[in-house]
Amino acid sequence: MAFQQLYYTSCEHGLGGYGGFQFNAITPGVSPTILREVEERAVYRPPQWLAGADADEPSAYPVAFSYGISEATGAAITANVVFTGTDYSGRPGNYFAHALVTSSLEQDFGSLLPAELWGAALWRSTPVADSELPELPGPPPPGVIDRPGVQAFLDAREAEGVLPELLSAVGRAMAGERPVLMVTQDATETAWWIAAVSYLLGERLARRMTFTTYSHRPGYSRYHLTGALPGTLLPESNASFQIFDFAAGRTPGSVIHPLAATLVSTGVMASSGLWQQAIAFASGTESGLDDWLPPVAVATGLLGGALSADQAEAVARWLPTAVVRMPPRLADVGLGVALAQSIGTLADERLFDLLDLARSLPVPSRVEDIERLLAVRAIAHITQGEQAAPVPLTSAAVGEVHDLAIEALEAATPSQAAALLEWSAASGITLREDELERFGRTRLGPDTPEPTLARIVRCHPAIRRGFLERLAGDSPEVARTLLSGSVGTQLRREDLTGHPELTELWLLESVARGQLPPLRAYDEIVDIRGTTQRSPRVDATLLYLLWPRGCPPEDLTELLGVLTDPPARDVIDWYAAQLKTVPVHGTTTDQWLTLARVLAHHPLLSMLPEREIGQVRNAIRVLPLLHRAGVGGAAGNPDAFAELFQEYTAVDDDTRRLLDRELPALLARARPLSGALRGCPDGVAATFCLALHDWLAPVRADTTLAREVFIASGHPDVLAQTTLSERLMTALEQVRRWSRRDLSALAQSMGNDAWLAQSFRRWQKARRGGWPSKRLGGEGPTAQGT
Amino acid sequence: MSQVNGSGTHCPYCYEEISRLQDWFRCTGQISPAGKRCASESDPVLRDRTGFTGAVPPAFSPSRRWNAIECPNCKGKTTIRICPVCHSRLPVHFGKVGSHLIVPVGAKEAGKTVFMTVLVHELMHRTGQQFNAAITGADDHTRHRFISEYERPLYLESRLLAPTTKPEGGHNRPPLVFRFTIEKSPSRLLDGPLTRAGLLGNRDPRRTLLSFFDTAGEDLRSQQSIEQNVRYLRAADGILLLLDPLQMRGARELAAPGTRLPTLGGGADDPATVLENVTDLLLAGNGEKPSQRIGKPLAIVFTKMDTLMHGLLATSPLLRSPPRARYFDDSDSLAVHTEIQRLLARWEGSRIDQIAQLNYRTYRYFGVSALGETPTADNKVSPRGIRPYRVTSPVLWILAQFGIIPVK
Repeated sequence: MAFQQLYYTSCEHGLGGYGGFQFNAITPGVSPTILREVEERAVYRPPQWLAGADADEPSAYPVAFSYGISEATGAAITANVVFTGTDYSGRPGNYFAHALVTSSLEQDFGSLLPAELWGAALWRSTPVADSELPELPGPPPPGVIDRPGVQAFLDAREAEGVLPELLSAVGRAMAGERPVLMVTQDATETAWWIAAVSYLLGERLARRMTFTTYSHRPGYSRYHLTGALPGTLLPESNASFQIFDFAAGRTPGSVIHPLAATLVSTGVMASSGLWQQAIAFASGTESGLDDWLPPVAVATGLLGGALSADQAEAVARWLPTAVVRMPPRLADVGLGVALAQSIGTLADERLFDLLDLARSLPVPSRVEDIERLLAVRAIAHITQGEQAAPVPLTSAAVGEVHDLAIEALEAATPSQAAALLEWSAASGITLREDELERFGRTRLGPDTPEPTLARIVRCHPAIRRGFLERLAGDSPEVARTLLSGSVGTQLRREDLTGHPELTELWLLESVARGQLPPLRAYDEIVDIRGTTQRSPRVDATLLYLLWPRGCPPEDLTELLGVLTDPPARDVIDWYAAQLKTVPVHGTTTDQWLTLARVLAHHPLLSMLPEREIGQVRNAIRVLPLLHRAGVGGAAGNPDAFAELFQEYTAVDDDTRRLLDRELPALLARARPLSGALRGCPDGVAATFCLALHDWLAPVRADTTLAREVFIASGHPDVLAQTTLSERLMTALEQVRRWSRRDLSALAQSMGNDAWLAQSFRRWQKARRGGWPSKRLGGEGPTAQGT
Repeated sequence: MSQVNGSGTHCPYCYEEISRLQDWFRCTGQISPAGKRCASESDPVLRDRTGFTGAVPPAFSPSRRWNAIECPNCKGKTTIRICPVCHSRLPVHFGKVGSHLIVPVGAKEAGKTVFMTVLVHELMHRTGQQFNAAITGADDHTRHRFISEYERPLYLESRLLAPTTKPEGGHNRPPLVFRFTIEKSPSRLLDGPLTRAGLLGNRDPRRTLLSFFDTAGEDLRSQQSIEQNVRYLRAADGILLLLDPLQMRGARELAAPGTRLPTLGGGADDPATVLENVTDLLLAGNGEKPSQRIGKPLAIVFTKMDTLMHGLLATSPLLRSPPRARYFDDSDSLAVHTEIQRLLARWEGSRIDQIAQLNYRTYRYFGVSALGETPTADNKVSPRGIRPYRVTSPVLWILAQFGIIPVK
């Protein structure tokens, strides 16, 4: 391939076959699309103030040297347009455009940059007689621009300050943002600036950067970088361009891209070498400054340059995805550059990415370096009171990190120590037991904030051991205080082995927290005391601590079972205090019944103080009777009630209150009720009927109970107890308030007994009163069902 | 209104028919009452249609048609109406006043650009006084460009204008759009002594927009290049066809000694050929029936007449001073038309008249000179200055055809 050439001007002879603006000559084969594009790009109008100047001095006019990419074909069009004054017919305003077109940029340009064709000897400015032009083999010889020349140009202008901004602006323009408009005193100066930008951008980006050294109407220019002369800017240009008005010493003052800063600091002379290195790391898909930043940064590091924080960050972000297409050796080099620069600059997150990368390559030496670096940073974070992510250590760095952690532990505050221990555990660092035990023994104590102490104690058995060893030497008050809080919750029974006093305290606190049943704690404490030959094995203090709110009947029963030796006085007093509540709290439940049975034959009973013996005996006698009344009454055998009624009058007040509390419910379940009520004391009857008042309320509408009460209230035995009978009838009045549906259900429940049903209907019809049959002179119920 | 064969309103910038399209507006870019400001950025439609890549506030099509339209983004009010096709800012009153697209066409070196510059200058000054009319640029672009690129070089710097080239960047050059304001034609009753005595006060103004699209001469050399401008000619309300008589062999021989003769461009630049090309394009583009002649007014303007004056008969109407009345003097115009018709035979240009007669319902010949004298060898205006001759007659004739100025 080679460049196609085109001449366009106002001439007498050309491809149009007429005089005027036309293609004077072209290389055969140029497509109509390219012809149109070249014609459009070649349009030239001189600056206003030069338009009337002497046309015999075309050199006074700015040269529009442009480089663009055809949107339609992708071909590169490099054009040199010069003002030529009058045309063949003497008309003014003529110009001559010489364009080179190629679709194979890399091949035809070689290492030449488009900007280097400025002032090249190849450019023609006069029409030719033959309309056919030869191809121009590439790369063409460069013009007046070269790197030393550009460096001298920049040096003369002290351009270091503005160049990063210009380069950044061009990068943004290439990324689709506002194009750059460069205002200089002449197009030649613009060409040198463009060359400087091109050299710094490197071959690949420079070939994507389109430019023109001169445009008379910048608002219609489509280049990334457009040159203009002073006086051509319209007021609205600021919104349309990133304006670098070198003639007026004004730049937009925009943000500098890190790559731009790197390239400018590298300089025009050295940038070629930098780009050569960078290309080795490139994927080939890079299109802008952002894409090129990481490869160039790696190249910078490789060449011994220092990376900025932004650059190091960019490299670290880029490497993990870039290595997929890189030979491992290059990936390792990139990793090395990133790591060499990263201390204090790269975020931990990036380092973790690099660690993953190093492990996947795999490069053990890098893994070790990064693990060590991350661990050192993590320890530093912790000692500064900051969060630190665990670093799963897989390399030889673990030993070194272990020593660092121990060293840090020595100087750490309790909270730092807690964080350090947790981080070490999560990072897989096994700290030496003796060191940890020593730490627990010497650095932890009552002064350590409780939450922190709990965190540390939880961390490691060796620390717990050390800490408990120290705690065992403290006063019981101190120990109790610590064990009663969150520290105690972190301990297990086996942690306390070897510390019986602490164990007992811990057991008591565990009971207090509801984490351990008192009986189990009692057994253990008694065992411990036995093993350690502590005396007494049981005392009232212990019992009160275990059951501070009273001992329930089942526990009392158990305790009575293990009470073999004659107890001490304080223990007997404790039992007396507990058993004194039997008449008060006792119920018909199995627990109380069992307690009553055990206690009835237990030697302790006789040891109790005389004042309590009678009440306890009454209670333990009544409780089995209550149980029998409950079971038998519901099964149709209400005999036990008669015994209970007898006891009712004989027992003490507390036991009577027990009977008052328990009997009404037992009577309500008893069948037949009339049989159970036989001989019922008035006190019991009053309590029972008071309860009935609630149970027969409309909201409950208990038809079974109502039926039973209705039958009992008419039974001769009951009728014989006038007070009881009246109380029952009064309670039965509640039934009248029932809903019709509930009353109907009650009536139906009596349907199998015609007489009963008829009696009920009559009772219903009567406004108030007892059995209607009696009032009407009919027969009342006999001993039906009794 | 710019209406071609009743086809509706055309944008004075892109010449597209837009009357059936929804209105579009552009935000002012100022801070709105809501405290927001729309950012300016390149408008892709404007860029693709006109080549202008600069940043402008956003364009939008409102859902409802109000006098003050609210920008959907910043909620600020705007009255900036833009063309729905090319997004160029439409002149104030566009759509409410008449709009006429006048396209000067002609072969290379026929003097179109100089003619148009002098024409506008004359309309702004001398003719304005004559008709009590005013012509002003209808947009910033026209005002700026006409002064900087046309009027100043020619009138202040006395240099000829560079030839019009192909449009830069492949986009059509934006036309120059002017607002022509003239008093409404009086009724017979009111146009009496009272009015003349100034006792009835000023009459209401009548405004119309004139859009001049400056073509490159090279565009009319072949059918292919003409077609690039087909839209402009098809939408044109009136056509100024500028022909250089010195391109005609018969006329070249009659040119005054010392006249700078244009190079003969071969058949393509022959005035008859140019007229044929334009006619073919109009016939093809306007959908006229084969039996119908073209209805658009065509002013066939022979330029550079100063070079041929010396050979005219003393009685030639071309030697008379043009009338300076407050109306278009049709009798004088017809006399010039007849004189040119006669001259065409001498200039070996009879074919022009045949083509015009056979294809156009309304056409007229004009003889003009924009500069009044041949420029110097170094492309400067004569030291005696610009002395235009009958340069406004063709446009005034077209305006009279539209009923904008009175005819007698």
